Amino acid sequence: MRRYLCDVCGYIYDERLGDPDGGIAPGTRMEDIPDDWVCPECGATKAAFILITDE
Amino acid sequence: MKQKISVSDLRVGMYVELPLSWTEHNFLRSKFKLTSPEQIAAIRAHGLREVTVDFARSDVPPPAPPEPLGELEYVSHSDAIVDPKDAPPPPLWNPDTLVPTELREAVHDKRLAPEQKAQAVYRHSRDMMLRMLDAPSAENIRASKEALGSVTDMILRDDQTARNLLRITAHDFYTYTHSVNVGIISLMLAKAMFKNSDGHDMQELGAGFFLHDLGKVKVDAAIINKPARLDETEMRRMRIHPYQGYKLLRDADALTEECRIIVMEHHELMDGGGYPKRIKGDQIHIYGRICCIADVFDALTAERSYKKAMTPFDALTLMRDKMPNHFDRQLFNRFVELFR
Repeated sequence: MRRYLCDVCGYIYDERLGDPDGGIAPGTRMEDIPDDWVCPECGATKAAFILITDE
Repeated sequence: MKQKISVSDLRVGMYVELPLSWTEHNFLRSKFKLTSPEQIAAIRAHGLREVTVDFARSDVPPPAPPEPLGELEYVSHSDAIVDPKDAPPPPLWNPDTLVPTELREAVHDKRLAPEQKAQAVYRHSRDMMLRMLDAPSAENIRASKEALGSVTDMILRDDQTARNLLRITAHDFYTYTHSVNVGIISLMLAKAMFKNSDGHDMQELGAGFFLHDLGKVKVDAAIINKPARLDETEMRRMRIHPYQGYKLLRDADALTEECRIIVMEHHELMDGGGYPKRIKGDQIHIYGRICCIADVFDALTAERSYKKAMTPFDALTLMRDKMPNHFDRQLFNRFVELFR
């Protein structure tokens, strides 16, 4: 499970937790998230996310 | 007789030995006697928790050992490692103590010569900014914003003191110095642009310029204080500061929305190559475009451990020749005239 940082706002997408409010189930890997998903904090697109931890 | 002392227990008169090599800090020496509160503040701003103090060479005695604690307290105050940005702000400053009395006095002093007035306003504005960045609670943000409004008024009213402020800006490594510099420089440009027009709330605008880097309190201190260029990952972690600053101001209900935009957009470039939103041209608010020019100028003229400070002339030349599509051309031309 990996964690990604949104470099626009600092929001962290944790694959373990997903983004249930945004329709992303816990355990969803970043590459499986639809391209129209946006950062729940600031609305940035997937391109703004960088991998910060890989376990 | 050497002893490790928590940074919060440092006092003027102590002889400190910094646990850093000479290139990693901004002091003349790594071992020296503290002669001013500003030096202690600078050590704290560096992110250090403890330094060694040689009491044989100090003017003050070692602090008394703390009272023994009950066992429960030992547990609750265990040495758990707390990420500095997760820790609550130290209860160091509150709205009553945050704004130095000397700042209020200097701003309103009608007898001081412009040079002295500028020196006093500059020094105490930096002190206030350091305190606020140390304890960026909503109420402290609002208190600093009020005080910055009166500094702004003075800069707008008192041309001579304002010119002196522009001349004396220091160029060290610290966010609080940079914040005050960019506040002054942006405001001088805004004053030149807007002096004959209504419709700009200059007090709010000025405060926005001074607070443009507030969001850096949400970035890892290790990145902020890194004595070298940032790598790609660190840079991307740094890029969250405009949004985080905007959010802090919004949550503190400080500044108008229009002026909070300064904080959000001060790293956007005219050609769309900036961040965080990568907007371009007129999409960037003119207040953001002003702050961007001042921000780059101050970064270039500041000294870093990995680069020398540039002269204002060299910085302006570089901005004109090497960054032709970064800045609003009309604003930049007006900016150059400030230094004639």
